[in-house]
Amino acid sequence: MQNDDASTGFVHDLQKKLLNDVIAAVESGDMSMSEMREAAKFILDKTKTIAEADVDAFLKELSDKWSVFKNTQVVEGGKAVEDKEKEVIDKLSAYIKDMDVNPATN
Amino acid sequence: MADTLREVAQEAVAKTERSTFDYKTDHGKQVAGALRAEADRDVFTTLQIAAGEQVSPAILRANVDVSIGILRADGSVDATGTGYAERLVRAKGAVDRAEKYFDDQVDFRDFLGTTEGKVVVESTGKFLLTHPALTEYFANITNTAQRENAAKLLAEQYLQDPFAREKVRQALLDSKLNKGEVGDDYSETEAKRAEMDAKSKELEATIRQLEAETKLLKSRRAEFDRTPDLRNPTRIGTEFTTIAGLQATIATQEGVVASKTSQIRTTQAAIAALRAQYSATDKSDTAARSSIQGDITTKNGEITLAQGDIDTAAQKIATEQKKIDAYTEDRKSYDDKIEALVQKIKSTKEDKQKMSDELRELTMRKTRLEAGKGRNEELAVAEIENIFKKGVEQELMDRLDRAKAAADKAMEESAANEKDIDEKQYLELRAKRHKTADGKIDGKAIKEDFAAMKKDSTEYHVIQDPADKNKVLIVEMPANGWPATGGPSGSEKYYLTGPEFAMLQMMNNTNEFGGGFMLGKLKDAEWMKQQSQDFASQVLREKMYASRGWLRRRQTGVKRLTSAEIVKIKNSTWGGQMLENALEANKTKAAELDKALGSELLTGPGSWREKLGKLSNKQIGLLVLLLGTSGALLAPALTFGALGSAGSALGTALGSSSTAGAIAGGGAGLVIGHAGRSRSA
Repeated sequence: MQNDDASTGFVHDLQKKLLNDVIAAVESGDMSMSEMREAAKFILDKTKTIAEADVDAFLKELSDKWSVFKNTQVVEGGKAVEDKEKEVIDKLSAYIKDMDVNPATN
Repeated sequence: MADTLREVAQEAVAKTERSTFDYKTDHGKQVAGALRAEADRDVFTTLQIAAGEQVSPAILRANVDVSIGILRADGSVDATGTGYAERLVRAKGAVDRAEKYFDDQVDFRDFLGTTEGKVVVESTGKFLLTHPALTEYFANITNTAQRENAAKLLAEQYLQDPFAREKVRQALLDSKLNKGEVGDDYSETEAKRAEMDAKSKELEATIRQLEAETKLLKSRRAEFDRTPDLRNPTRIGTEFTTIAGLQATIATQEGVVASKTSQIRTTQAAIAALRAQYSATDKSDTAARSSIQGDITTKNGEITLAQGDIDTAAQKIATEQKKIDAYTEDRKSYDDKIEALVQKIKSTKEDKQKMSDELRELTMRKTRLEAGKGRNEELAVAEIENIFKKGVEQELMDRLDRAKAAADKAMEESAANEKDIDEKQYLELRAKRHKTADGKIDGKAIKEDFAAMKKDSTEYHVIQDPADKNKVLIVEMPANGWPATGGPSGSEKYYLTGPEFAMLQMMNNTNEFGGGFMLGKLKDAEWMKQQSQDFASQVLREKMYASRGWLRRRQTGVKRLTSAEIVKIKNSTWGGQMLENALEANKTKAAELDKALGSELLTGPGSWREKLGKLSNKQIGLLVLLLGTSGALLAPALTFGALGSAGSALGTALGSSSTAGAIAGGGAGLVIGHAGRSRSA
């Protein structure tokens, strides 16, 4: 079964990126047909129920198995850290704004 | 061997992956291109395709290219790359050409003439050799070379068969070949239904047996009742009588006990009185006291005797009671057994009911699948043609050649011997009807006559053509009948069967017969019946002869007899009668025909019509071929070779156990009856 976020959310974007890696690897001869089948099965299996927080670990496991995903792991891994930092900053910012507007509540 | 093209292709790709030969560049590009095109539509589906969970025709095609490319001519795999490029080019060409053939862009003969076509035929032959449906057939051909040759010949037929063409075409795009057929479903349902039917019958037998046991036990148990048989109320149960007797004995003995006990009590009282008397008597009166003492002793003796009687009676009571207890135990045992059997019958009946429900569903399903079965039967008839083509072909074809030559000769002789000029002309016309001016098969005339012959019986308005004395005008009755006013008069209407119409049309088209002659013959019902029957046999024979092989069909344009046409012939008045008459004339060979058909119907009870009605379309098809080849469907007074090896070969080819060698030596003149029905309306 497809993950609920697969058609529109981050899972779709993730699957698309990984599929592009697979296609490029097959085209260049870096990935055999059997490896292609195995990797695609692995991706489908793992992304069925994956949460955003687990992406980093998943990409590491994937690139450990097949080096053709190394690039995506580095790029996506960095992005996940950035996303987390941005999320924290956004929350802090909202909190400070709320303090300014409602000083009495503190 | 993997049974799908997809698996074969994947297997081939996997083998080449382990080799040192770099096949990957071209193949990888093809696969990547296919995935990229798919990814533009749907990422998830593309991943499923990459995982091998869905099929992409483009990737399958790329894999097939590799699989054919790495196969050596002997079927072994070459993953080293030697000759790979050459084979790959050839493989690609083969697939391309095959696709063109399957898309009707290339004629089969042209396709077969190419190296690629031969590769496809060879591959198809290998596929057919391992097809489960043909296992039994090929198992009968023990010689390897003969088996491979038979497979190749079958492949040629198979590739030309419309159904098979479609199947192979699909196989190039998809995987499972010949899977999920209605026929498979039908066979499975029928097998399951038959199994369940047998089990249901077993349960019925069990119920019957249990009921018989219960009945027997109940009848024995009833002997414990006063009236075991309500229909005979005066009869008393055997065990009831015995128990009643025992109870009566006990009652008697109890009476003895009571009587003796009373007697003892009285005697004891008397003894007490005597003792008192003894005490009161003066001691000196020894005589009196001695007398009293004697009386006491006598009384004590009486008590001892009475007590002995009581003991004896008590023993009898105990013995008889034991017997009664044993009978009571018996009765209870019967009751328990009966109850257990009743429960078993109940549960068995419930099981049977469930089975009946399932059986009903299976029967309904089977009925629904009957509709689809027609297609399979058509396929089966096509298969007959395939079988006809190979293995047995030469013998049968030679026989058909001889039969036709003899029939032609007989017709020519018949025409030569005829005195009546018009009859003579008619017979001459018949003799040359299906030949061209240079003596070759006239496919057009055969097709025309066969098409006319297939028409349903109906009324025609036939009158002299006022513009041409050698012609009549023929108008078929409209589907909704003749108009209420202005329709043809009664004397101008004729009810004609298909063959009668075909015969009239044939005469009319020649322009060689006077209208008067034709109108006269139309009124001669006996002549019409006889001649149309002969004509039907002739057309059928000519059609079979003209369509006997692929090349002949191509030359003459005459198609093979289809299952629908066979059914039509069987169901028509004239066709059914034609087969009946041929069987009647051939009845001494019924057992041999049965062997060839794999049936026991023809030698069984009933009329020919009933027997024909029970034969399947496939069997009818075979019967037509057998009778046609043996000459039984040919014109009167002809003699032909025996059914012999033809029946045997067909029987063997169909996987029956028939050897049918005994059919040989028949060759009697087989007279076709006059089944056509003609009457002036």
